[in-house]
Amino acid sequence: MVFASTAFLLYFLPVLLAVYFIVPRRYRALRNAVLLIFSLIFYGYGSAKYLLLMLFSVTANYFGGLGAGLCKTRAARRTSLILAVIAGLGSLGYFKYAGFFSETAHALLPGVPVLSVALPIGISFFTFQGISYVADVYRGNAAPQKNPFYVALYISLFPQLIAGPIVRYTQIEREITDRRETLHDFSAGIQRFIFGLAKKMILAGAAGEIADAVFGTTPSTSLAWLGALAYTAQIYFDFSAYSDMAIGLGRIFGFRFAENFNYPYIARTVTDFWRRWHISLSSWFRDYVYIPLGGSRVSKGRHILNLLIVWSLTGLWHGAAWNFILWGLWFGVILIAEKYLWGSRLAARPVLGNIITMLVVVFGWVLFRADTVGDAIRYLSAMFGVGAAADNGQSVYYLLEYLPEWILFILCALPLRDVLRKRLENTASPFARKAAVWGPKAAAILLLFLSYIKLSTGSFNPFIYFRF
Amino acid sequence: MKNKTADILFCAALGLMLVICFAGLRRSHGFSFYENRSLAPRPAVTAAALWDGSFGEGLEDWLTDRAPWRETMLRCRTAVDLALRRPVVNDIVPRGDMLLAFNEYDRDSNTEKLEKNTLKRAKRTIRLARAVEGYGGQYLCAVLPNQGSYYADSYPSYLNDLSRFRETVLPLFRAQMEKGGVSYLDVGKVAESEGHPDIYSSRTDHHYSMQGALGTWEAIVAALRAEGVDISFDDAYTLKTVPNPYLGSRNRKLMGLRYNDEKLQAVVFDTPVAFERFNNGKQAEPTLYKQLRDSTSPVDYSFYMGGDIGEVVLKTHRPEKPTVLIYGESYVNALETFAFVSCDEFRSVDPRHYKDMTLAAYIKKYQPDIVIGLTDYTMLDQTTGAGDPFGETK
Repeated sequence: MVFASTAFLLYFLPVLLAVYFIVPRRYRALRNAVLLIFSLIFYGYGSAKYLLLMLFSVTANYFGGLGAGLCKTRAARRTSLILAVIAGLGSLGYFKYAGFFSETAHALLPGVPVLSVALPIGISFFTFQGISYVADVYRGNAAPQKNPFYVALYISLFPQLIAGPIVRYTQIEREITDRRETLHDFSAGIQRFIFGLAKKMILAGAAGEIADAVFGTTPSTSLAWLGALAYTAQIYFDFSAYSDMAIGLGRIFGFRFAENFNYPYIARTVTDFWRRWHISLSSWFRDYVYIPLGGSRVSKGRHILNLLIVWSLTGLWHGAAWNFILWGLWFGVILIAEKYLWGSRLAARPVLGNIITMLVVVFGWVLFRADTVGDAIRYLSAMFGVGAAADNGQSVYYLLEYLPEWILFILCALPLRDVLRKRLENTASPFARKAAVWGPKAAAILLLFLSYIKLSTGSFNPFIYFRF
Repeated sequence: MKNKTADILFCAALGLMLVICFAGLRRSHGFSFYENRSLAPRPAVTAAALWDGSFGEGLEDWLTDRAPWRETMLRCRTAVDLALRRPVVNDIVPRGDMLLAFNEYDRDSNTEKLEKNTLKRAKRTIRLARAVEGYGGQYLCAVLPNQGSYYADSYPSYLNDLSRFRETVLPLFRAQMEKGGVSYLDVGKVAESEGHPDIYSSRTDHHYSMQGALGTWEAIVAALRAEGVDISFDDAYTLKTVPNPYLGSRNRKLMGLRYNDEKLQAVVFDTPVAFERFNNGKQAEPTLYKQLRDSTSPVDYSFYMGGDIGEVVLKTHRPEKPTVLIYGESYVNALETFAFVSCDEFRSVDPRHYKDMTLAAYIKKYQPDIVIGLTDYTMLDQTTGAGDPFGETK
């Protein structure tokens, strides 16, 4: 099920809210049971067969966590961790990468059969959550959870189940058993959810229409740039929208998920960009891969190798194809160059730094969006006039047709809302303070109406990050 | 900022929105008039569908198609898009009081494919003409500009006005007809020779106007007479304007939100010609126009002959006149409301809807004196329907 759907908005969420809040707060276990059951329905709606995979992940991580935390010898605890990691990465490897690796092997050795395995929704997210839980228990950062239903709730919690953010067990360990739902959190959570919904329906949807149309053709140079910019907008508004909705939903039920985006397109360097983009994934790789490899406290050569390993894995996490690996390495190389060559000079020139960073990011998204490396090269070439089609007016059409959205893309990528809110909150004027209270709520109601117009009149519109 | 009153009122407002939303839930008839399509069917609950996820997909489509206030929301969306002055709204290009079709940019980008399909259609047309001539009949291929082609100059320069399509397809098709010795009439050329009058094409519908239909028939009769065929169209008539607001197909896509003062017209003969009518082989009421309940409800192009029907036969029982078969798309509908007076028996076949036999078999069975293929420019590369008279396209 997706958040931006009639089934979720009109049926699933209202029924869940009614059932959940009918249960008195003191029956925490019962409220958790309601959340768990609805989370499983939410996941099973897409395909009941993948519930088995989810249950396997829960079981492996539950026992992995117990072993990693309760076994008496270090070796046994380590073995539990390794087994849980193998179970997680093994299922991820099979469902997500078997096709890719068999295809690659087939290209080298034609006798190797090519496997075709359907990708379960959100497997990359819940697998990483499971691994982080067992690793945190092994490291002593979290106590092993003895109640298997709470491990199940942590892994399957529907707000962040299928498109993140990747929530660490340590972040919500206490909230699972001891959280407090309040009217203000409920109201603020719904507002955040609606802002995310509007971002998805109004901005990401429009950007996606442009990008899908352009990437499906041989574009002219101007159209190629327009398509790349549209996809740049789409992926940000789509993914950050999902994070907004997840964070908002979590807050409704008393969970505080960490922020996943912080206006990445205002970054001055690529390093800065990755501190602002998909923060939960970057920090996951930092804590569970980069630092265990030695991080930056190693020789220069080893550090560069560590970065390349982390970024090729980051690319591979996003998709089982060479263009994703290339995309990861593209950022890896740029980050290394920033670290050792021009990073400080770039940071000192904010405007130039932002322009260069955005160019790097836009080229990166072309790699990311293309179906194959060959397609990416052809598209990038078209952006520079090589092999581009003749201009047929299409770029003017997409510019004029979506002019209101193009303006909104720019405005909404800037932290204007935060600046305005802070100004209103910090001013002594009673009107400004009232505006700070009522403004977001009025805006939320208007945006909900506009989103419903889009939703009820549009076709089914799945999220981009579902394929991860 | 925390404010309990504001939070309570906000949540109450959302609750109220939900109640209002469900108050708009209506029993659906399974068809969306403005979108001109069937709504998604309710998915069957089966173990297999639940297991593989197809139930969820089907349910989402079903629910979205029946979302509360959906038609109102469609109007809102269209109104907002029109107010934002987008160049294209719901696939329509609003240009003043003119509503044109949006043409995909890749519609005519593959010249090789266009030529291949046009040649295929032309060859089939020639074969059909030979078959008609084989039993002593006369075949005429008539092509006419669709609304977008007629008003191609009205497109902004950055939109595809299908000029490349026409430049590729029309000369090729005409050359093939000439090479194959098939009588060929380009109604667009006739209109050009008359100064390209605006009255020939609708401004808000993809069909021609009644004057356009009359001009087409007059041109067809003239072309046939030039071939030595004994057919005439000289009954005196007047044009009666239908008072109802006209909901053209373009405006229908805009939920009827674009004001226009276009009206439909009907031909009224000074001396009516009696006829019998048969729809798909069954006798029907001898009417030519849809009966309107009042003079205020909107009327669309299906006013003529009651819309698209696979086969319509109008018999006037005047053996001195020729028997005529005209096949093609819905352009035929307006035309047959008056063209039948030129005939003893007037048959029309819409190959998109007629499935009893192939067009070639139909012609062989009834052997009309005259067979006319009537199609618009944009259909000349189509190899199904009227472009597949022998049933060869899989």
